[in-house]
Amino acid sequence: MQIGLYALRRLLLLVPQLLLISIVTFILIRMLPGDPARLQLGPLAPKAGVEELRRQLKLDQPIPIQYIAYLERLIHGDFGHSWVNQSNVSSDLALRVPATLELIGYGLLVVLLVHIPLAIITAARGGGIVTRLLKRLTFGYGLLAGALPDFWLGLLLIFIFFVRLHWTPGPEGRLGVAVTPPTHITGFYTIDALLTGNFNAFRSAAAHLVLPVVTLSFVYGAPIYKMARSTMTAALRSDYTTYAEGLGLPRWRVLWYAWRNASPPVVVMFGVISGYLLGGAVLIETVFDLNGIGQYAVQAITTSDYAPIQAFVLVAAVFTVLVYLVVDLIHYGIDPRVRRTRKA
Amino acid sequence: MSQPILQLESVTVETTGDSRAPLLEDVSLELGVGDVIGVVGEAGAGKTVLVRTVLRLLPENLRLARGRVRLKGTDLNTLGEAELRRLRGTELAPILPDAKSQLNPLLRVGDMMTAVLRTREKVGGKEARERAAALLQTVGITDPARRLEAYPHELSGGMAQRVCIALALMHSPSVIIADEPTAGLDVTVQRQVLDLMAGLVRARDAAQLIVTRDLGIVAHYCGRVAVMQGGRIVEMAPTIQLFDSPQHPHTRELLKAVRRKGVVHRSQPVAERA
Amino acid sequence: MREIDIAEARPRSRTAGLAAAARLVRGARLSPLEVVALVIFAVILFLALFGPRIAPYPTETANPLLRLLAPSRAHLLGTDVNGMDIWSRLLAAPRTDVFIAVVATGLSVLVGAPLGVIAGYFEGNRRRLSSLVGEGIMRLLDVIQAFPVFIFAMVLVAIRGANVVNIVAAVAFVNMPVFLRLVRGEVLQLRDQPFAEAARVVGNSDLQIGFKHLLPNALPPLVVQISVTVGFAILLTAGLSFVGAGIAPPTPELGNMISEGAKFMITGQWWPSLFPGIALGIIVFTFGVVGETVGRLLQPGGRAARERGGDLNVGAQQAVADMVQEKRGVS
Repeated sequence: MQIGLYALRRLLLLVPQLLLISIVTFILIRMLPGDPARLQLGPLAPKAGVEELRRQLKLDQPIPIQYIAYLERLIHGDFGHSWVNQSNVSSDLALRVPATLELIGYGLLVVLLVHIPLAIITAARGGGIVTRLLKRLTFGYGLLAGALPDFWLGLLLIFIFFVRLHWTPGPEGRLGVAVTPPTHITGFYTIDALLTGNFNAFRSAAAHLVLPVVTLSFVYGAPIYKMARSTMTAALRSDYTTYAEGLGLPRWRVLWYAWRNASPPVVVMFGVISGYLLGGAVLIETVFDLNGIGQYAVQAITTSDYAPIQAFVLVAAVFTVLVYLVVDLIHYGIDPRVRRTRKA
Repeated sequence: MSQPILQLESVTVETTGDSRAPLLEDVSLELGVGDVIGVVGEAGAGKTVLVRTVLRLLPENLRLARGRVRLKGTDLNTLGEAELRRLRGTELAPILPDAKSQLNPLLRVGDMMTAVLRTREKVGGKEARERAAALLQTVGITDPARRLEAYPHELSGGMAQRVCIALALMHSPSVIIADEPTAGLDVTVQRQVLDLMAGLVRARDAAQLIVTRDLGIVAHYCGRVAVMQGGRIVEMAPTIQLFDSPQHPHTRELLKAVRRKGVVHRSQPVAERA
Repeated sequence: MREIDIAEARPRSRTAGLAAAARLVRGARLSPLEVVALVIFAVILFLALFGPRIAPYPTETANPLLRLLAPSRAHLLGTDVNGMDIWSRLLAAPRTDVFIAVVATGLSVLVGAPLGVIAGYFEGNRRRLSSLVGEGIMRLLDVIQAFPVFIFAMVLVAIRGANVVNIVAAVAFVNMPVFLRLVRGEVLQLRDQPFAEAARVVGNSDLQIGFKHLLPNALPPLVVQISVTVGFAILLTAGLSFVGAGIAPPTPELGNMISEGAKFMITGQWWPSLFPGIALGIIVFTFGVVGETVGRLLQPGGRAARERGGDLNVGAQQAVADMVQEKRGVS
C-alpha cells in the first residue's frame, strides 16, 4: 500500500518530466536551420506540398499553438514521415525498437547471470584456487573493460569468431540471408520464432545475437560489475556481516544478507546503464548491422532525415525516464530506510 | 574452579604481511562454568582483537600466529570452517558494541531472529516467530509482536541491544563474548541491560567474557578482571583484589582515572554475590 | 609523472635520479600499476605534443602502392587502405583525440562547476526564490541527461557541421551536466559544515562562500572526474568519427582509423583496426588510473563512502551523473 502511494507520486512527477522532454525535442526542431516542413519532406518535395504540410503542422500559427499541435500529434503516436525511407516513422520504430531492446535485454541478462554472481564470489574473502584465479582475472577485467571502445571490441570479436574460427555468423544483421523473419508478434525475433515454432529462425536469430550480446555485456557490464563488487566488498566487511557470522548463520545466508545491502546501488547502476543503452548501443548496432533504433538514428542524421531523429531522441529520453522510475520503485522496495528518510 | 569451558593458551595474533606487528601477545585466559571475567584496557589494548580471535572472526589482515583457543577442551585450530560455524551461536555467542550497527539494516528483527533460530533447529515459520516473540519478552521487550516487524533503524539503542542479547541467548550458548555491550547507551539503560544480561547468563549457567573500557561495569558484574595493555594481559586478579591492591602500574593508572571521576562504587560485584 | 620530472631535473647521475624517483614513489605509496599508468600518461602527453614530428613516415599522404601491407620491419604495424604507415599515424593520432577531449572537458568544467556551485548553494537555501533557482537547474538537467548522449552529440555536430570546434562544443555540452552534478553534490554536503558557517558569520555572501570556500574543497573528486571524463570524451570523439560524424580522414584520429579498417577486418586484414583500438583502450585506461591516483594523493585520508539511501530520486540522479564516470571509467 505504501509502495502504491509512492508509485503514484512518482507517476505524477512523470507528467512534467515528459512535458519537459517534449519541449526540448520541440526546441531541437526550431534549432535546426530551415523550415521543419521542408526538412520533413526533403529537398526534392514540391513547394505546394511543403505549404500544405506547413498548414497541417500549424507552422503558420504562433509558437505556443505550434507546440500544442506537436504535442497532439505525439499523443496520437504520429512521429511524422521519413523522406529518405518514404515511410511512417512510427511503423519504422515498431520494427526497430524491438531489435535494440532484444540486444539490450540479452546483454543485461548476461550481466545479471554472469557479472553479478562473479562480483559476489570475488568480493568474498578467502576461497580456493578457482576463486583466487577468478579474482585475478576479474581484477584485470574491471580495469580494462571500461576503457575498451565497444565498436572496436565488436570488430575484434568478428575477426576472431567469424573470420578466423567460423564459429559465428558475420555482421549481416539479425538473421541469416536465407532466413525469413518469424511472424511479427512481439518484434523480438528469438521470442517470435519460439512462439511460432520456427526453430530455424530461432537458431539463426540466436546465433546472430551472440557476438553483439557478448560485446555489450563485456563493455557495459564492467561498471555494473565494479559497482557490485565494491558495494559487496563493503557489505562483507561491515559490522552486520561479522555479527551474522558470529551468530553462526550459514555461509549462503550471510552472503545473501550482505547482498541485500549491497544491491540497491547496483540496481540503480543497472537502470542507468539500460537507460543509456537504448541510444548508447548505437555503435554495436552499427558494427553488427542489427537495424536497431540507434542505427536508424545515425542513418537519419547522416541523411538529414529529420523526423526519425526527433522521434528517436524522444523515445530514448522517455525510455530513460521510465527506466529510472522502475529503478526508483525497486530501490524503494528493497531498502526500508528510504521510506523513512523520504521527505514528504 | 571446575573444568574450564574456554581456554586461551598463550595466544599471539599478528598482522599478515611483512611487518608482522603483534596485536595480541601471549594472552592466556580461562573461563569456567558460570564465570564472568572482565577484560579492561584502553582503546587499542587489543580487546576487540581478543574477541575476534575467540570467535574466529579475524579480519583478513590478521592471523593467529601462536597459541590455541580451546572450547570445552577442543582446540579450535583443528576445526574446519563448517564446524566453527556450528559452534558459533550454539556454544559461543557474541554480543558486539553498538547493537544498531550490528543488525542488518534491511532485515526485520523477526526475520533475523527466526533465521538464527532455524539455523540450528527445525521449526516451522509460525513456531519460530512465537519462540522469537517469547525470547524478546524475556529480554524485557514489551509488545514483542510489533517489534518483530520493526527494522533496526526503528529501534532505540537499548532496544537493539536487548534484541542482540536475545539473539545471543537463542541457543543457550555456554560462553557469551560481550564486547563493549553497553557502549553508547544511556547510563540508566546500561544498568538495565547489564543486569538483564547477568541474570539471564546466570540462569543458564553460561560463562561470560565482558570486554569493556568501563571499570564500573567490571566492578559490578565480573568475578575476575584481566587488564590489557599493548596486546598483553598485564594483570589478572579477582575483582576485589584488583581494586584493593592493584599490582601493575597500568592498573593503578586506570583505577586512578576512574576514581577521580567517581564512577566506581565499591559495592560487591554481582558475580561474587551469586 | 612528477617523480619523473624530478628525476630528470637533477641529472647528477643516473642512479641518483632513479633513487629520487624511487623515494617519491614510495612516499606516495604508488602501486606498480599506478607507476606504469603515470609513465604511459607522460608518453601520451609527449605524443600529443610531438607525435606528428617523430612519426617515421608521412601521416597524411596516401601511397596506393603500399596499400594494406601486413606488419613488417619497414612498417611495424603495417599500412592502411591508403598505404599510410599505421605506426606513424598512431603516433600522430593522440594529438587530435587528446586535444579535443582535454579542451572539451575543460569547457565542461568551466561551465558546469560554477553552475554546480550555484545550484548546490541555492538548493539548500531556505529562501524560496533561491531554492527555486537551484531546483530549476537540476530539473532541467534531469531532462537533458535523459537524452541519449551519443546521438545528442551527433545531432549537435550534424546541425553545425563536423569540424573540430563543433565536435569540441558537442562533447563539452554532453559532459557538462556531470560536473554540474558533482560540484552540486559536494557543495550540498559541504555547505552546512562549520567552516562554511564560519565564513557566513564573518560576512561573506552566499556566492562568495560557494566559490571561495566550497569549490576548492570539492577539488579532489573533481580532479578524478576530470580525468575520467577526458577518457570518456576520447571514446566519444572516436565513436563520432567511427560513424562519420567526427574527424574525417586523412587526419589521423583513432576512431576514423578503426572505421577505415573495419571492413578489412572481415576480409582478414586485421592490423588497420586492431592497433588504433588498443591505443584507444590504453589511453582511456591510463587517464582513469591517473585520475584515481591524483585524487587519492590530493586527499590522503580518502573520502568516506557517500551516504546512500536518503532521497531516492537524488540517489538515482546522482547515479545518472556517475553514469558517464562509471560507464566506462576506471575506478
